[in-house]
Amino acid sequence: MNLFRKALQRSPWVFHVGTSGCNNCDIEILDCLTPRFDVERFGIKLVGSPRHADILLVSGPVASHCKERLEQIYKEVPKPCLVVCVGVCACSMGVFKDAYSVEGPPDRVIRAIDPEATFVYIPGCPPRPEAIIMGIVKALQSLDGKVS
Amino acid sequence: MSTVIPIGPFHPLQDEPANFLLTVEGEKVVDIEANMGYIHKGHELLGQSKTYDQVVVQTERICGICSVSHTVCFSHAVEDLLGIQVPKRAAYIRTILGELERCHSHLLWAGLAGHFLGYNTVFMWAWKYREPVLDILEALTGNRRTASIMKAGGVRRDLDEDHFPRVLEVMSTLRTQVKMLLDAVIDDPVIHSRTKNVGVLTHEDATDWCVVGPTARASGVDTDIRRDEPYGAYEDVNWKVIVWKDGDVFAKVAVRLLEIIESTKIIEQCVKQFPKGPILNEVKHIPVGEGIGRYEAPRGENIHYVRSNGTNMPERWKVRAPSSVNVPSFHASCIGESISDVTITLASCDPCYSCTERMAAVVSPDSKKILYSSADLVRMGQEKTRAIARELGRPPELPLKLDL
Amino acid sequence: MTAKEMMFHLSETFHEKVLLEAASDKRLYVRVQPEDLCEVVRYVYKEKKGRLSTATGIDTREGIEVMYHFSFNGFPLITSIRVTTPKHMPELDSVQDILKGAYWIEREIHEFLGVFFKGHPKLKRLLKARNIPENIYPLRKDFDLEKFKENRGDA
Repeated sequence: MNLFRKALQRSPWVFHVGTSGCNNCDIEILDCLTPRFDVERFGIKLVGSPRHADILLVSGPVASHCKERLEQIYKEVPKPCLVVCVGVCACSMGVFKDAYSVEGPPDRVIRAIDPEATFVYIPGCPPRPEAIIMGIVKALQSLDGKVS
Repeated sequence: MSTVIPIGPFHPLQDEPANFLLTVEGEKVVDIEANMGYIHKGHELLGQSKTYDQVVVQTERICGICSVSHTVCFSHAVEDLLGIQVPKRAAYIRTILGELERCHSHLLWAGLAGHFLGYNTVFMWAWKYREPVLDILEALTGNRRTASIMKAGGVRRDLDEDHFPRVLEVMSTLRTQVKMLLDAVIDDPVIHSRTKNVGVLTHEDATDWCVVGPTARASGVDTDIRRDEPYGAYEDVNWKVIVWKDGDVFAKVAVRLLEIIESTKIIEQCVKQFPKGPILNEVKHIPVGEGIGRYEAPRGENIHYVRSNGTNMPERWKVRAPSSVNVPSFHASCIGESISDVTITLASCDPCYSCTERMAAVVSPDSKKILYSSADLVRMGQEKTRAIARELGRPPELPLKLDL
Repeated sequence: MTAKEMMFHLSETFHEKVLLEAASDKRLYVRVQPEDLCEVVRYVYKEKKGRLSTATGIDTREGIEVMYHFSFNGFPLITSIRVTTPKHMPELDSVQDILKGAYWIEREIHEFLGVFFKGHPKLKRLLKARNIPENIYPLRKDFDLEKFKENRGDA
């Protein structure tokens, strides 16, 4: 079953994995749950296990310590899934491009184990909660375009 | 017989590998060992190949919660090397933004502490009260976080005084909201049971482990860089250092909430007496030398050391964020606590999420199987609160009035 | 207390064992030999009620320089105690038994610069990623970042 149809049957469930970021993006993601943005009213729910997730929300550039863990989490997420890279560090490593302990942005790490993975990029440092919600919604809408 | 327990992450909704390995006997913690490195990106090495202005940009991304702290602290280090002062207006701008950051950081922490204790309403309200503070930061600097305004010698951009009436309004409302939170916390018997005499860090241990910030002030150590090595506008405004003697989690909660109230008063005074003048004492060249800069971040003393060899890139740049000295004090405050109290004890020193990365779960030393995950440990803490509430005949959530 | 006052106390107590330089009235740099390090640290910490803020390690031509920065609650002075150890055998006495606050600070200098702190109870890596070998010290000047990334297989 493709992702869009699966997500339509119930609202998209999101698993957040923060790799090696400064946590600005992680906190803006958490902010989406708070009363002002209240992402749950759109049915977007943060789940506690990658095994229940439709969407993987990744933040931060991936340091060597985190690489295996990110790969393990990606393998556990049932396919098809969408990987959303939140923040400039997750899109392109940002200021940490030349850092010695950073393996690469999440898309490089995940493509190494799954070349067919689908990515969505939400740039910003950090992206505001409205941008994160819009990014996820746009991603789902674009999948709809692909279906039809 | 000892069992090793990893302690889980502070992120309420994540389940990640542990940072701390606790050895327990029965229900009591007897030893703690750190297992870190997940967030390590090599800032110091990276900074050696960046110009001083680029280092400021990089410094902002050391920690998202205290980004103003690190940029100003690095600027202080360069200004110490040069022996220069910043213009008065720039000092006031740095103070206003720094205190707004302290408000947002303490409210963020209050929300997380509420969650760990089992009061999810407190989490939602604290983070809701935080939003107007981020709105003002956005109005003044252009971004909710990462102001990108600091520079060695002053600030890059001025503040628009048209926003100041709104700043005063938000500070006044915030003070009332935090006083309400404080009254609820101070009077609630369930919170007393969960936090009084829990995770005690004695004055002697606080001195021996060289802790800083609210963690130290809650143990009776009178230290605050804003008073000890004044910078910004702190010598021009009336404010006081909050010190409590008990050293337990309750003291740490009270110190942080009272500091938010002090911060609102500092911001109001700065706004009302905002001086005119230049905002930058331009720096053209950094000669050979060394400098040390300090700043009172929300978590405590931030210290940066810079050594210059006369080029436009630092020869050595050392960063010590406050959590680096606060977090090891767990060796003193966690030993002897029960497993269900460990999460709130660890959270009470407010480890900067990006400084302490993630926490861990419990693993049997023999079979290496996970006995308790981090989520389990958070849940155990929350269940203990509910059990105490039932015993005392209290409602399971704090009976706070709705939003003002 | 100002830097000059601390200079007076240190020179009265340690005479030629310390080489003092006041960069300003709140920054004092004290150079000591490795064998006198613990004595001077103990004096500043216990007698003068200093607080170890942090320690910086730097790779210089003369060797690995370690500076212990001591702050004081109540006044703006920072006294930095500087000691240099030879690069071919960088060893210093640990100050961990004098003040527990040095526990993580010395571990960090050990893993990034290779200084061995004699007497430290648990001198193992703290932050350095697991895939970086023990004998690679990223903050040394001879650390070749490009070669390290090539060996790791970065594009």
